[in-house]
Parts: sequence; C-alpha cells; structure tokens
Amino acid sequence: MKAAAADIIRTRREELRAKDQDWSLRRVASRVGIHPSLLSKLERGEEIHLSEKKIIALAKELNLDADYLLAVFGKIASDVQLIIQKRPELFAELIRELRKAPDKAILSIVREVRDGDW
Amino acid sequence: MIVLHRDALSFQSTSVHRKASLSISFQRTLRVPDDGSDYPLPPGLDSFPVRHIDDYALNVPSEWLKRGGVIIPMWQSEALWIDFWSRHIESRDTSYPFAVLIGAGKINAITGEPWVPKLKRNPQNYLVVPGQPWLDGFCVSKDIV
Repeated sequence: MKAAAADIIRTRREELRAKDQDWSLRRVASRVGIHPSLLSKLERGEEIHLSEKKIIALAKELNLDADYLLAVFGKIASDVQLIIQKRPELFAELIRELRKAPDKAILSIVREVRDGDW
Repeated sequence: MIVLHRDALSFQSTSVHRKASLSISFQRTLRVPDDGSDYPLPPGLDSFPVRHIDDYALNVPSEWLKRGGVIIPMWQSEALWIDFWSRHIESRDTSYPFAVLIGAGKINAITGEPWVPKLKRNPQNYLVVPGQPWLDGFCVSKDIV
C-alpha cells in the first residue's frame, strides 16, 4: 500500500510538473499544507500518517479522485464510515453482494439528481 | 447520469468512457459591494452544502419541487462561484472534455442571451472543462459581467 500510494502520488505530480513548475514538490506541499519533507517521504514510500483532510487536499491538488486516494492509503472517508455505522449489517451485505458487479450496475444504484419541469 | 457527491454535482458518462467524469461544486465567498469600485478577489470559504430538493419536500414551495434538482442554502451577504473539475485519464494524459451550459434566471450566463438548452458555437454559449477552471461572474447583458 505504501509503495502504491508513493508511486501514484509521485508519478502524477511529476507528470504535472513536466508541464508546469508550479507542481514542484515544495509548491504542492505548500498548497496542501504539509511540510515538503513529509511529501518527499511519502513519495519515497516511507510510512507517513496523513489525515483524511490532507489526503483529500492532496487528491484535489493532483486532480485525483479523493475516495480513490483514500482507498490507496487504506482509508474510507469519514462520512462513508458514518453511513455504514448507522446500518452496518445492511451495508456490509450490500457491499459484499456488489463486489463483482460491473461499474455501470453499481452507478445505477446511486441516487440520481432529479431533473424537473422548467 | 447526475448524482450528488461530496457537495458537488457529479456527471458520469460511462457509455463514453469509464472515467469520463465531471464535477461541479459551488464555492462560498463574500459578496463584493456593487458600487463600481475595484476590490480584490474575495476569499474562498469552502463548498456550499448541496442537497436533493426532494429531501425537503415538506419545507419548500411546490414550484421548487416541480423543477427538481438540488438546493443550496445561502445568506444574502454571501456570494458563490462555480468550480469545475474533470477526472484525469492517465492513458490519454488529459481529462475527458465536457461542454457545459450555465443558466441563471433563464439567461445563459456566458452570453447573456435568453436560455436555450442547446450548444451553439457562434457565438459560443458554453464553456469547456477542462480548460475553464471556474466561473465567478455572469453575463447579465452585453459587455457586462
């Protein structure tokens, strides 16, 4: 997991930096609100604890999906955890049933924003 | 398909590409006095909460329910700018492009013309994401934002 997170973050930041120096390690760290040495250690695969808020900020900065990056860090967003904790058996069963379902099937369950009459 | 995800409207076009995904969020800021003076950009104060209007069916006018969609709570002293984000697709080293029409009060926010739910190229009545990171002004009439 550490290596996966390191690889994803480093690769993505370097892709962005290749086009724009604004994605140097120092500048990205500054915008995310962490020390550059911390980001450097993260990108080298060292064991670093980042809060959910910082992981989400890093994901946004690197144009990565926040839930995806949280999962790579072995975390689940706290709002999702709260939802599961309210009905744990139901959601556990749902997630296990859906584990092999294709993306399209899962998305169809997500609640759509209703378009009305304009 | 449009869903709410982390206080943002999330548009998925999985039939086009598995990762074709656009997110539109509404960012809280302060209202700048409309007195003709120049002011620095006001601060960003995080996203507005966005909720399905159906979840407030008992509390909103029926006219609102007819329109469907979502609602955002705002104080009069607040203002809003719109943030656009599209998902990066590594294999293509870009994000899937989306053409976005923005209307406010049945006026096209880009052209200031009456709202028509159709893309027009000339003059262009839509914005393109990626490329357009945000929108913080509406064209209320010709040459006035």
